Amino acid sequence: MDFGLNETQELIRSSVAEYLSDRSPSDFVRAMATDERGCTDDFWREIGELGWLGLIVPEEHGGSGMDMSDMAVLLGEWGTALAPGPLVESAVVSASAISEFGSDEQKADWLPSIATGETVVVPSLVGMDGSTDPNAMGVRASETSNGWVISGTSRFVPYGNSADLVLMPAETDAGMTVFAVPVKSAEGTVNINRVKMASGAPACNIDMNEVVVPTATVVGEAGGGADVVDHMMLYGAAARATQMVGAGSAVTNRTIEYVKERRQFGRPIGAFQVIQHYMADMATKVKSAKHLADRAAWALSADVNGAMASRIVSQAKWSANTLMHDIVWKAHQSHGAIGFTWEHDLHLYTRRVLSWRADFGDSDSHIENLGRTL
Amino acid sequence: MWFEFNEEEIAFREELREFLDDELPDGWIGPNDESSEEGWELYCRMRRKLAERGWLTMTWPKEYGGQEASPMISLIFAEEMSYRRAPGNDRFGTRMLGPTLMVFGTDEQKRKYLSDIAQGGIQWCQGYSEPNTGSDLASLQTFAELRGEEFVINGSKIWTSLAHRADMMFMLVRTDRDAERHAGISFLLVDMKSPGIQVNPIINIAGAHSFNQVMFDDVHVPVENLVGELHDGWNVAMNLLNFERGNIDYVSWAQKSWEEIRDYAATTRRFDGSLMIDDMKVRRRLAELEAEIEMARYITYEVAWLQSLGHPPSTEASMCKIAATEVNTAVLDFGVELLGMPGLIDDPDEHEDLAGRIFKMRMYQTSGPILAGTNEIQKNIIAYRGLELPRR
Repeated sequence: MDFGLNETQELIRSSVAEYLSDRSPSDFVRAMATDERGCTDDFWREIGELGWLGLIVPEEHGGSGMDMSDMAVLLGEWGTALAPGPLVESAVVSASAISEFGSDEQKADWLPSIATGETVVVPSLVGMDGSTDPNAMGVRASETSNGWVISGTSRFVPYGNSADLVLMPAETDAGMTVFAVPVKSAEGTVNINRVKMASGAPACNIDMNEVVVPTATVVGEAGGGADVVDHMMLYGAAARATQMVGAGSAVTNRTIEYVKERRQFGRPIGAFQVIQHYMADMATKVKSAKHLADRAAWALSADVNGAMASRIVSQAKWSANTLMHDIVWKAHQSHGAIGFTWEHDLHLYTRRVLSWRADFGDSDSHIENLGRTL
Repeated sequence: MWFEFNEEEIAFREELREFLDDELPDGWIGPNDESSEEGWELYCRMRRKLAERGWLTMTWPKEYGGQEASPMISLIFAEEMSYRRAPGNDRFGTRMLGPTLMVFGTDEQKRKYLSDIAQGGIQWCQGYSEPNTGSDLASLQTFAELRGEEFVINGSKIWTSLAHRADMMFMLVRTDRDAERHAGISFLLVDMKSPGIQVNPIINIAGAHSFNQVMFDDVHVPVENLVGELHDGWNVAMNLLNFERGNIDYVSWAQKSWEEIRDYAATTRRFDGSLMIDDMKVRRRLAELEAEIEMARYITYEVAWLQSLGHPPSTEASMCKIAATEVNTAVLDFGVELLGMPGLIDDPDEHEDLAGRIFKMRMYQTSGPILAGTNEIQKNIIAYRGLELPRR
């Protein structure tokens, strides 16, 4: 057992924290939350240059070849600062799916530019009913003599208006198949409509009509898409859980600072036992969820078998969902009216925690995954 | 970050499992009822066997006959013992008083008591709470007057677990009524056979005799039984509280009960012929409780990890007391409800069955969030020591 960071991880943690406090302060987070694309090219290129987008990309493809435990350190700080951009989508979920399932050519073509930030790859994992049920995907593909023809709608694609490639599961005669669709340059009709989301990160509905893509865009086997989707959900859930704990930790620390300062009845409200117990509960919940999130990142780094890793990740995401949700509302209760204002930063966290709860499997889907395999 | 035990730790758990397979009665399910003569004999026999292996004092320094085992090995010991509901893991002597004597005891006290504790030959009880002294421990009033070479104790202690079985008590007494309340307390060792001690049983809500009120009427205690300095008992006791919180017990009990409840649901059919566990509501609740057990488990593991680095745990220990006792309560609550009417049969003979067992354990678990510092006191500790919130 080791609950600590190693030297490399400690270095990642301190440099990311320092960088983000300088480069992604509240006014940047706020500006990006209303920005059409949710992130600037400058910012994205910078973090690519710092090597953070290639952390888990294998070394032979221009990355650092680190594991999810290392990535988790970065993700936690990302959550704490609410820093923008498709970090989880491109640098974790897509990078790991391409590394795991991509052909040699796909890896060579895409991974190096994911690592530099030149290429943004995002997954499409939300079904027509708004859930992450893989059976609810609204895209169909059929094989023809000059490639595959894709039609249908991909809903809530994160950063879909910045993405170069969307990893898109589609129903085919062979079964579910994942395509890397070059949505900006595909042959055929592609309409990308941005939806303004509560989280501040843009999501897009992508309508496709007879989009033709070459066979080389199939990620993994034709008909083997379910495994790719499972993989993306697994890495996404683990990454999001870590990010949520980072955000919950920041909310807890900010609330503790606030109750020390705010005075009523001639004393800081933090001197009232009911507030003290709220704070103790919040701190305990952060720690509880953090251990399970760290363990999930570890399970994807160490040699843990697939069924076990899936349970560990579901426990982590369910815990982060449940406990970070509790935390933000207790934070609001403790802040009183000021936390109800647009001006105060608390709602930035609230909005993200609520959004991230739905990402990569909501609480129900994770608890049902666990319930099926008791 | 690493979330697995190492080879040495895995091997130790395996050795302990084999020992328990051999030494526990055939078909042992537990928990042990130490209020019965039979149960007490089993407790004493197991305590001696564990002592023979050196396991009760595995964390002690070698100079006191210990093995200097790591906090993680010690945690595994407690985790596995509690998972098996195995009796004999004496906490008063080996986990609480022993380490305290090593810090504060005189050479004579160490010589006299430590080897007895290590050999599992002596039962200690803890005299802290009083009828008017619970969470506010420093308000205690039992008075020990120093008369020459003796203390003379008058007053009473209450909720004293195993006082009726114990050979000795370590206790807090007031020795100076005029001093600031934390400054007038001393820590004494008292022979339970001393004239003037009367042990009155208190029956708990599970119907068992587990604790007592102990009356002190002019009880004479030699001055050499003072541990630490006169009037410095608060300091001695606070140090001891750090050894007391072995919260993995609750996590293991929760785990064991959870497994029993799951197995019951997997084998029990409802009137319509369906298995209980095929009800998604049952599965979901089991899955939630399992995740909550894991959360509590890893906080307790973190405490052991911190100790292994030489960091005394403070707020982490309080967090783990809360998380561990809450999850055990939640598991048993779910069990009582799932088991329905059969789970509510209050007949001692039925306690061989899961239904009676779960209900009885739920009754016992009422004490979990209360004893060893109520969960509310733990939250105060987190707020003051950990989060540095103002007291006023």
